[in-house]
Amino acid sequence: MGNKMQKPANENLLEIRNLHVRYNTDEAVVHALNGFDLTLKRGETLGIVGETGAGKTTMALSIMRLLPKRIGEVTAGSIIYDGIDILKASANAMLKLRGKRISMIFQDPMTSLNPVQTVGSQIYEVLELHYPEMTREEKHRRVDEMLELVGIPPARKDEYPHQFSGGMKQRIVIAMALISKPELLLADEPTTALDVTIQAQILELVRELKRQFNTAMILITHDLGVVNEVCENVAIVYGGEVIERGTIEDVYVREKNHPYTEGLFGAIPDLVTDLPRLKSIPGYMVDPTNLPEGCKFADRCGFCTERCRRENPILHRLSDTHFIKCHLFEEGSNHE
Amino acid sequence: MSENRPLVETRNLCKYFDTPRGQLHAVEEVNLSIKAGETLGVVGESGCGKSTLGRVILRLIPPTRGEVYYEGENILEYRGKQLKKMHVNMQMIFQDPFTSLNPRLSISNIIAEPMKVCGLVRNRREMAERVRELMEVCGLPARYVNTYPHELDGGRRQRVGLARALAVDPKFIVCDEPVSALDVSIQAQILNLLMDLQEQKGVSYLFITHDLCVVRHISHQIMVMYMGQVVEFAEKNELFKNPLHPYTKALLSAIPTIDLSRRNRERQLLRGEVANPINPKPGCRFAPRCAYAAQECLEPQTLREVAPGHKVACWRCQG
Repeated sequence: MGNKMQKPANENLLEIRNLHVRYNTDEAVVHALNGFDLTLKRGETLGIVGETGAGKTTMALSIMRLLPKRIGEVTAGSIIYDGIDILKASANAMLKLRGKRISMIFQDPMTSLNPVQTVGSQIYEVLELHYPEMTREEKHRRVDEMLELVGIPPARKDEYPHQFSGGMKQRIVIAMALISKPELLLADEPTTALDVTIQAQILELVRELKRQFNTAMILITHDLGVVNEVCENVAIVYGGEVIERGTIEDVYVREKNHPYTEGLFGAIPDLVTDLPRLKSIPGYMVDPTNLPEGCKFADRCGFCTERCRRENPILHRLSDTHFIKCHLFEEGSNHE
Repeated sequence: MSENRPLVETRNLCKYFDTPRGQLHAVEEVNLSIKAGETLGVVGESGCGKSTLGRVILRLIPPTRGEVYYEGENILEYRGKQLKKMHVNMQMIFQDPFTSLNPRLSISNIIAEPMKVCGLVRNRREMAERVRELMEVCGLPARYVNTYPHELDGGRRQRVGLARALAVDPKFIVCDEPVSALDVSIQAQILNLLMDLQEQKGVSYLFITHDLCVVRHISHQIMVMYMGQVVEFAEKNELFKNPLHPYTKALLSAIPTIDLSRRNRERQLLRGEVANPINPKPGCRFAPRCAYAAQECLEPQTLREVAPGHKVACWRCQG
């Protein structure tokens, strides 16, 4: 990781441009990503927030090139990771990237661990694969160190996944993801399956490890609160597009937001304000098999005009860091 | 019914399960009361016994000990016809809208079934009319009447579950994590619907959830459970303004919120994880994770009233 940091010319670690991904299923064509744009700097922590079916996981799988074979298809766009064109890279090049320079943590720790292999050997395997030059003693030492770091006594490394609780399993998965010292960590709903007090422990661990390793992270979640806990920047996703992007302050101060973001904030009860009723977003998530021509949120939006139905808005710049994809924020127009 | 008498009440309600490793104390000595038209929120992490409590109250599983009263009558003594009558008044909404609906029944049949079972309608016309009404109340478009559960998404299925619970016009509904499986925008729709129904029909809820923000929004009174025991009980605003039990405090500190000012707060992290209440020792069950644990915590802790309406099971807490 160290030598990569010395290349100031290329500050962006990851650039996704106009990515279109669809799933060709027997029943229908599902348009999962529709012009997805994203840039991630080295060491940045970005939260990606969206509801079920917004395309969050598809984005992560596209970066790892793990889209389901024959069904998942990239129809347009590009993903550039540190100068490497991911969509054109050879299978061999991907093997060197995946698990070494880019790691991923999945939602359910039980299904991402092998039930018949001890946890220690599963972590060891990562080193065996990506650091063949390391001696056995060195590898074992690294595994012990990593377990210590995520708060698991190294003495337990010969135990099997079922002997650990959900929170502990997620710690093991994090150890597996970080032992190769990746530059980018993709965390797909890492705490959704956990209880709040355990979630708080895991989030604290993630914050601490980020400080130590300076890993860039994309945290995928449906929970705006979790993003507020660990991220610097946030991107809101709807219908396979980033509809708002900014620093946490830009977005959470709630002065200027995309109508959908505004809706999400209104729909979450918090610990401070007293409301007789929540402001729910009317209607349901846009149907990805049958996308509208214009703005994907038009049907549920209170500010919808004729133009929104005709023409998909472009990303409008509100400040150096804050961008919103909505006609309301076109230069010259005033939103509230 | 008199104003003061609670609609639903439990006394020393206990539920133990026998497991190969010993007796699991899922619900321990729970005393609660819910007034007509009010909501009691039950919060806790997985395994704290909150779902078991809801099921025992509805007699879906028999309690080990204790009593459940509905309008002053002990419903555990009910048999046969009385039981059926009881279920006209007490209903349940389940967490998972994917497994709680019969996949082989159409939406109209799912909603109609409780009315048939309880003999509340005289003929098909009346039934169809009632189903149509219920679907409208729950925000389900009439075109879904002949569809099947697999054709609907989570939010709409949860509306079907709610319509089914409302079919017999109950006065009391146990809501077991009714919004946990739903996206936030849909969650808000269901919460609003539940609150509207309470306002219009005066339904009471026992609202079980792990989400403190949701429970604060919907409840009048809140009960915090840990490993089968009630550790704190208070009126909503009192609990959030003045949490006393160390576990409640830790829970409040742990929840991620959208409040920017909480970003850099001092976080109280709990050590360790929830254990199983199998053959529990008499002392405080939270003590192994508690930052303030002391010798006194080995003694049994009982709920004490430390301020009007505010009860805590911790010897350290003084009003």
